[in-house]
Amino acid sequence: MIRYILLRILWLIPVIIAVSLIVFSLMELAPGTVVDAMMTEEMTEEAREELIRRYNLDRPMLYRYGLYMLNLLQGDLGTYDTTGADVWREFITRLPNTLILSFTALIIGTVVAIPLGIIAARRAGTLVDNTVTVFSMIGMSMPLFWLGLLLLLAFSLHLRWLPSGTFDDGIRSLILPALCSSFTLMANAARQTRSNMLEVLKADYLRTARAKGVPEEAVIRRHALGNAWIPIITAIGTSLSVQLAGSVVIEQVFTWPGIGRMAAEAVRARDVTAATGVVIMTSILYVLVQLIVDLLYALVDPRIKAQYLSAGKKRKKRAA
Amino acid sequence: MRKFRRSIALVISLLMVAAIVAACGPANQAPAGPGPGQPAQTPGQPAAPAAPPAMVAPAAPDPTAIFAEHIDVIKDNNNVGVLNPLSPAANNSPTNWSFIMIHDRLMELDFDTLEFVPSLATAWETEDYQTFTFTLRDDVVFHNGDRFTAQDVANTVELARELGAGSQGGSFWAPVESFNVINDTTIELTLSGVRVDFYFNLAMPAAGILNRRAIEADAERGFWVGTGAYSVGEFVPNDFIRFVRNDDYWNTDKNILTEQITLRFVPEMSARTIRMQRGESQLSFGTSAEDLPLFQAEPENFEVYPLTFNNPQGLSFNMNDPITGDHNFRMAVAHAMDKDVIALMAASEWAIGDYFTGTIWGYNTEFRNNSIPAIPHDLDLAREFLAASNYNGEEVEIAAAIITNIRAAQALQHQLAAIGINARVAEFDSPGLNAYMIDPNSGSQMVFFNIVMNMSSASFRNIFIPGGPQNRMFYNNPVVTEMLDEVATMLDASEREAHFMRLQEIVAEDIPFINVFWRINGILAANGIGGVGLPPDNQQADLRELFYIIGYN
Amino acid sequence: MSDKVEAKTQDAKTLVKSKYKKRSQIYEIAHHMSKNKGAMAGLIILGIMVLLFIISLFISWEQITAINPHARFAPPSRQHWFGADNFGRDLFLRVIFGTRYTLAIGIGSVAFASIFGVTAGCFAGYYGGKVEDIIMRASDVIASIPGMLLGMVVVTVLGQSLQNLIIAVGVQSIPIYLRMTRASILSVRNQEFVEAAKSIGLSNTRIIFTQVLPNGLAPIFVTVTASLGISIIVASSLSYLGFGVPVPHPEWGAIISGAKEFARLAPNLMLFPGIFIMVTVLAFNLLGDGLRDALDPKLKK
Repeated sequence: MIRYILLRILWLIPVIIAVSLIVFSLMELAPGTVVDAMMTEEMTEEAREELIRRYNLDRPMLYRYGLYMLNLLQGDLGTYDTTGADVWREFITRLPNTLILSFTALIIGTVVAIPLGIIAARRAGTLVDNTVTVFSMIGMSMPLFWLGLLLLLAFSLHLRWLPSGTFDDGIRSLILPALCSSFTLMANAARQTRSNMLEVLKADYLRTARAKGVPEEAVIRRHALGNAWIPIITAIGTSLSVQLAGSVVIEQVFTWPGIGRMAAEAVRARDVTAATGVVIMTSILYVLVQLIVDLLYALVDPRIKAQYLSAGKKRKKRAA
Repeated sequence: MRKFRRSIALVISLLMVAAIVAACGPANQAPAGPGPGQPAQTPGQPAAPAAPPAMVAPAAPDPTAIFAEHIDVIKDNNNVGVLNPLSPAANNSPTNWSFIMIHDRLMELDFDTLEFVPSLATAWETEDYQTFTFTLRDDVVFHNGDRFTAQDVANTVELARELGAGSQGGSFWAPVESFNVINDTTIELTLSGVRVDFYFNLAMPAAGILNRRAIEADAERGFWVGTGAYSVGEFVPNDFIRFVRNDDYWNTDKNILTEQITLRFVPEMSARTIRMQRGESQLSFGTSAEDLPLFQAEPENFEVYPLTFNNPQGLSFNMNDPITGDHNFRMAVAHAMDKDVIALMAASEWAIGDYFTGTIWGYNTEFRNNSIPAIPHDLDLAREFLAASNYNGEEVEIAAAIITNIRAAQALQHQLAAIGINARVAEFDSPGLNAYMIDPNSGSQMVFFNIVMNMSSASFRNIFIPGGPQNRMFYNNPVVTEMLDEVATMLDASEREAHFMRLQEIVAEDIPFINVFWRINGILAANGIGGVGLPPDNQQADLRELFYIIGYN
Repeated sequence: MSDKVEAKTQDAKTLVKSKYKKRSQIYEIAHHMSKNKGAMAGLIILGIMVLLFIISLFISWEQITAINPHARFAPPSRQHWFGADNFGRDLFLRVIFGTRYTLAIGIGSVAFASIFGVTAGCFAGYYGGKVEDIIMRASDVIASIPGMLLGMVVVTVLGQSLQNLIIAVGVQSIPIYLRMTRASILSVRNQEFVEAAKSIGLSNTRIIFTQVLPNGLAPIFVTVTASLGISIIVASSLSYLGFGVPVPHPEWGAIISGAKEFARLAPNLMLFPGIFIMVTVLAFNLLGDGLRDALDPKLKK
């Protein structure tokens, strides 16, 4: 098990190298350099040339990439080409904002979706079930930026209930962005829960449990839900990674100072160092989330845990 | 029965969606009429442009008024990434506004009279515009407690030389060849050549006096230390800056009334509108032209102040291109465009087609020649010129980067089609467009953008000499180049004026650039806001004396 | 959809038995789908989309780009069904015209992703061993770059255009197709007909594309249908952020992006294209669900 986790973490190294190479070279190929992004009316030709030298733009791309990797090997993400600010520090100050948003969305999503899914499954075919199904289908089909704009116009501008995000009004400014980003997750998880519960509810062991006289609530909680967890975790895990990646849209709409906007701004300013740095860090987060999801499987499902363990044993045997 | 339930379910779900959708409908309908309303002022008459608006009212604060301790100011997507005047990234208007708050300059420019007024320097003199002597104040203290002396001016010159490549600060101090600190309150600066516009450099926001000791201690925050009316309380790059009042500020002539001012960058237009409407912010520099009339319909809560941009917004031609380099083609385009319609499309009523004059000159820049006639909208003439040109129906390109210009380019494309020019709009982001325009081999043809001109006539040089940093049209007229070289050393102002008048005529004849419209920025303020210095060039809004009277009607 | 499968199987004329079996399966799927109300609704909506696409062919470029200062921000009326935008252009015409872009993006990005994803997935699944390791690791790397960021970078590099948006969206979904194809190939790799093909001396490539792939196609179809919806959302999100199709092309995401400036004055300008995106994605999702149900024997009633 530990061996498995270690292997997965070691896998990060080639990921970092490959991701940095891809993003760095792509950003280098983009038309316009950081110097073009900084042009002002006062910038003379000499000053421009000096800047080009300062950013090593007169040398081949491989040289700059080598410098970047040399820093990266020492655990240094470098500084913004544009502002000179430390990329790691900037990332780490913005990361909590994104995490707060993602986890609030995650909690709202699951707390609403799982009970909804269970109720829908238990009352399959009723009005409640159909409403949940249709609503979750619609929820999955809405582009988040559009939903965000609608929520802003409705609850912030016209009804004036909630602030428009921007993170300066404490918990209240969290509500709209979190609600918006929880929407897809909610829809997805509710649907997953429903279909899995439906499957499990028909299983023989539930019939046995009921026959033994276990109360219905306990049947659901202990037996049914226990077995329906895995796909639900998958749905939540995927949604979380999608949220980390898609946070740029939500952060843009709600003026949320998170890592998504940081990445978008770096790309717009042709800041190769910052853009590569953010994408590397986000990729690491992404891989870690996947790892946690996989571990959660093992936690809730003894069968998968056994698989990991036996795989480990097999390898040991082969090694011996 | 089942079918019935399903349809009810569908109806319920759709109702939920519809409820949100319905709540988004316009609560207060836009005022009726052809457009969303008229700006309070138009930028002026053909002969004499109006005087630049100076201040957001109420002018004199009532002594009994209760002032807000904290004011939230919105700026649009022009982020501040770094508060360092020697960084090339510190190149946009909100960064300059921030420098005005935290640093002081030797002198400031009075926008009403276009005269220099004392700040850290109390007096200055020069005989040859090459050696300048400044007398400095002796009662000024930096935010970190250091006393301000002539040595700090010398330090700033040195710092600019060491660190300032490509930056605004660096370029403002670059003409200084040597300095001589005579005593604590006197310094002599010697330039590498004659510079008649040197005072303009010193009055720019990024020419603030820095504190070397602080910068050596902390290469980032050290630049935040100045002698200004506010110090930096908190700064999250690209998000917000919170300024905190400097209670020991030396300049007691200024009414520094507000304890904290937050300058906030809100990328989404709708979020900016919502923040103002909800009272989360009190002053906004980035409200969309279409939303402004809705605020004007609430005079009990809001006031909109029009501020005309100094920069000509228009169409530039690549003079090297076989098609756009043809004078007849440029004349055809100039006659074909309906500037009023383009202005309307670009920024609703908050832009005005420039049929006032034919000059390519900053709206409030010195020595403006108002007697050059504008090229009229005349499709017949346009067709004639087009027929005389070497254009044969090829596809030509109009490039643009920011939203108003992209809209303007679309409108222009449509108008050019009317005389048979087949144009295509190419959309860029700002760095992409910069790279595209600078590269002589990129094949750019027409670009919709704005020429950047400040108050000084010297900025004209950057635009029209070959290789000038703003010469994106590859304009090269030897007569103009020679005249610009001459004028740089002319000491007599009236002589310079005559020279620049003639220069404008020559350039207007060549049409490397057509000024299409003047953009009017609607500055939205909650009632009770006052004390904002509004400069004509947008780079130097002065928020130091900003105040907000609670309960003002 | 089923026509395609049929066509493929007809190509593989050598296996009469398999063809027979396939056909009955298709029949069963079609039968199952026709009972699924959601899937039918999806199909109907898509039918309407195709109809709108055909109508859009009769709308001229001039009609959707012509500027009319008198109709600026006209509210929805009999003359302008969805209202008119800031250029006075009719929003209804633009939205209808936009189906072209949406269909192009949906189909184009899926085609792009599946050309690379399915091919690589086939090789990975069929050969196994080193080839599989390399391909899968490469796909893991692409999968670990957050899709939106990758899309933004790709558009920045290539410039704003329809093809580039399609590539940016397609690149993101390559790993999904790759995995799906590999899994599906693995399940048929060791079956008898593959060995039979090997024994008559067919080349590996030929075996992959004529024998293995057609038999593992069903789950790939489900993935394709389901990811069409996601692709459309991703593309419109990129457009919204300004990394999409340039003006004045009326791509739906781009229309919303332009209209957000007027969200308060004329909310209709962003409402209608949004509803169109939602309904189209919904249709693909419903269809994908229906297909999955039809192909998943466990859920069959």
